Amino acid sequence: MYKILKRKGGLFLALMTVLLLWGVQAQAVVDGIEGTTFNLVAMQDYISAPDGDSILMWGYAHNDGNPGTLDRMQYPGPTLIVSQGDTVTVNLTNQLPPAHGQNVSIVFPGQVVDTSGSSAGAVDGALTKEAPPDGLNFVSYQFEATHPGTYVYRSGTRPDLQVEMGLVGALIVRPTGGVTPPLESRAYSPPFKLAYNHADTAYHYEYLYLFTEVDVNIHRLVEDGRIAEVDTTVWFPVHWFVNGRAFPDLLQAPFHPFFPTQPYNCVPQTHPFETVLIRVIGAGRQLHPMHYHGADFSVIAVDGRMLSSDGGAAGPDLAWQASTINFTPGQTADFLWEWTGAEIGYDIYDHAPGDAPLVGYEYTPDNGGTYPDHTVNFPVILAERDDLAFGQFWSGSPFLGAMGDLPPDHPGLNSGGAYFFPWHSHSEKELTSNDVFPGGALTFIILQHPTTPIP
Amino acid sequence: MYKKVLKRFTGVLLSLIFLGVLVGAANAVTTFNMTAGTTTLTMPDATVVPMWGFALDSTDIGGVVTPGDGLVKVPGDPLVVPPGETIVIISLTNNLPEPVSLNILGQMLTPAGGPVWTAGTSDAVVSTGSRPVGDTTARVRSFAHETPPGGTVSYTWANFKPGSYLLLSGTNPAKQVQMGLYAAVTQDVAAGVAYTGASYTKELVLVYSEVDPEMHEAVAGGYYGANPINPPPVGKVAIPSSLHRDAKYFLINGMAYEPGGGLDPVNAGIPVGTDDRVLLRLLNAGYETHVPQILNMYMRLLAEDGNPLSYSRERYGISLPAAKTADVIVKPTIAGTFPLYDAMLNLTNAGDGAPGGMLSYLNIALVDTDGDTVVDNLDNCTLVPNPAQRDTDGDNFGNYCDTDLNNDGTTNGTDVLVLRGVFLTADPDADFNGDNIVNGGDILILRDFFLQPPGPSGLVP
Repeated sequence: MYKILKRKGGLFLALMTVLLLWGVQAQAVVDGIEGTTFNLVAMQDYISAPDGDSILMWGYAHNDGNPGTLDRMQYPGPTLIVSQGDTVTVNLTNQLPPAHGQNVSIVFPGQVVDTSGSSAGAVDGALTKEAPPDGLNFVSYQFEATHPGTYVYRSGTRPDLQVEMGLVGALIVRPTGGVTPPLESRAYSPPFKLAYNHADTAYHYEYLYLFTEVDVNIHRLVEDGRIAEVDTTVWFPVHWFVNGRAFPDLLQAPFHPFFPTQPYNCVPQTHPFETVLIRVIGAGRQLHPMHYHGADFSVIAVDGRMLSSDGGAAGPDLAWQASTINFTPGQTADFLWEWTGAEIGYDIYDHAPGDAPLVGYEYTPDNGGTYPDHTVNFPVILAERDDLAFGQFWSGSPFLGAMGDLPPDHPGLNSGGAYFFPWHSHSEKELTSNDVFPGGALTFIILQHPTTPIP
Repeated sequence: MYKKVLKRFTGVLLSLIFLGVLVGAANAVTTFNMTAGTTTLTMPDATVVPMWGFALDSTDIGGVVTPGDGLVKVPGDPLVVPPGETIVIISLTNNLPEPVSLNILGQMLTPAGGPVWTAGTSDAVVSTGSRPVGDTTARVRSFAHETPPGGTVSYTWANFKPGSYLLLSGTNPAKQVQMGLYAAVTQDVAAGVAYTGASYTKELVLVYSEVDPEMHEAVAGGYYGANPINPPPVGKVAIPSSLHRDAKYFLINGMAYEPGGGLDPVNAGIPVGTDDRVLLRLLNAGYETHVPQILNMYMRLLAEDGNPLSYSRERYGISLPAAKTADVIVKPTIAGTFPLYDAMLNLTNAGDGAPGGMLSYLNIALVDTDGDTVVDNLDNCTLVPNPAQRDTDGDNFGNYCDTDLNNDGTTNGTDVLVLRGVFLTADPDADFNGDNIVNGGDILILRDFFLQPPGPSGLVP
């Protein structure tokens, strides 16, 4: 069996380059809008949940400035991507149905915001200036993005209701500190980029984890015009979203036509030895213990501030290693994750005795001196195909980039022979969507064979 | 000879130590005389919630007695232990209908008969100290020794350490802490210094908690708990435990937000300006996590649970799980009104639509003492107008107030010599007034600072 598996692995690796048939689609960047001026409109629309429900939401739409081409509301709001030092202006108008009687606003924790450029009809609210629901008056939120990092923006108007209704989003400030990223050491890797102004914050791929919850009862009351009956103290969420989608919807492509108001997905991908930056945002109202399988990660920043003992020059020297991070409402964090294959205990490339090590692909603790897992056999003999029940992301082979025999009814969602590591909330009931498992805050990071391109 | 000297020296040393101990002992007992009793809190929607709380009757520091106001409050008045003192006693009088005990989380209580065990099936006390031998059904009712109803009992902490701590009831805490038996206990390492190296000019103590009024009414009406003494009134049900507690009001210092109320601003009696370093002691006496978040500003996290961090952290929000304490410093550089609110969004009073709950404002006034348009907290010479903020030696003292050329902490003869050596040159450090030449004008400035330290600077604490 082992021999057959091995031969098939080679065959399928060769076929793979021809048959790039992906079960899931991903982007190695954080989708969003780059710029310095953003025109957002609060609007009402529907999202779809994996249980088949359509849920009324309020969200921020991006108006690109072209008359008649107003974008739809999206959940979460557009990810605003700016550069350090930019003077950022976010203009907000409010097109929520006036019958709800809701002003709308945005708070930007961590930024010093000036609203003096707002129109005369903007009104002072509890936390910041608000746009009344007339579609005309606007609030202008202006700030200088002094520090790089990951930030959240949320409604500052009756936020216990409006954040629940979907008025949240992410702000990413890219560093421009003139620090040179480290040189790349793997031939198959893209160039490093920096999360903060220090070489120790370098990464290859970045992904966003913006966490929210939905209690459908509140949305039903709003939909039925019974907003006065909403009591946010008896809030009981039954949906958990990452970047506005729940499993399995979040595995679909970004901007997929199935999800016209939920443009963002969450499918992290990487290769061995590459560094993944995860931008963590607790945008909702609950704590979520997100657990990241495969390797520990290193938390390099919280609330958009690098964890540095001397304010920056020392780099993220106060970073801590963990495998679970508690998403905290209003808080952001950044962490770096890397999978090397250390201590896995078998040769993930299935080399035969006498094969030379795949330099640059295989784990080596001393930079090329030894390859402890090279030619080490897979530790168990797998049962025959028809004696097993397969998960939909099983490639048929335990080797990276290889495939094996799969039963005829298997969906074959892992045609690249990748490793799928679940990244999920360990508050296990959050792996459901309205009591249906699997759903909710369940994602994977997909570890691809080094020769498999990551889009 | 050597031995003799040593002996005599030891004798002196011993008597010195003895004297020190005596002096220390005379000052080292701080006694808070407190009463546990009933009170009420009125919520912004006029709901009156029955509460239990602590009154501070008097404070006795080494024999010097300061009377308190004796009013039962929620939270109780902060108990402030003077710097350096290590022995803290709380003498508690219990005016509640059931036993009460005390705990200060993070401080070691001198054991005096706790825990108190009851039979699992009744409130009958079966043991104090340890579990009764062979009895596997006994339950702990109190973590510490109890003060019976009508009694007065002392609690001693003999090795008190500085920081911000929560005093909580140690008896049936699921009930008694919810009812309001909590207060802050604080101690600085020195006057105006919260932890070594962390000085402050203003201090705010913020105690977070939640209230489920149904539960409070059940306790007050005697229909709470496993063995209720009264039947519930018509329209109410008996509440056997806090399992289904559903908080409706979210309080900071016993207040839910309402416009113009005690949280608007939270520093009404404590004016804060852009020259202050404000210590916020954040304590969560509730059962839920709260995340105090400030807008338009960062805070600096100094300590958690009374333990100083090796390196402070910049945060705009502080995660406060139940019973957590955190100390942060806010050093405002802009004036205005700054919302400080729970990022868990408990911002409602019993579900109404108006802003409420754990929402507070910090009012900050503009302070620019020398009127050079640079606020004191950013000004490298707070008393000398220097809008250009020249600081050529980079020591955070502007040249205008930094005639200490050799950086030994004082302007003296050595600095005069240094200045003489560069007289009529363009030496930047000795050019105090920025006219590109070291001349008579700079000598006049140096004269003003002779035998004085540089500064003051808002950048150097």
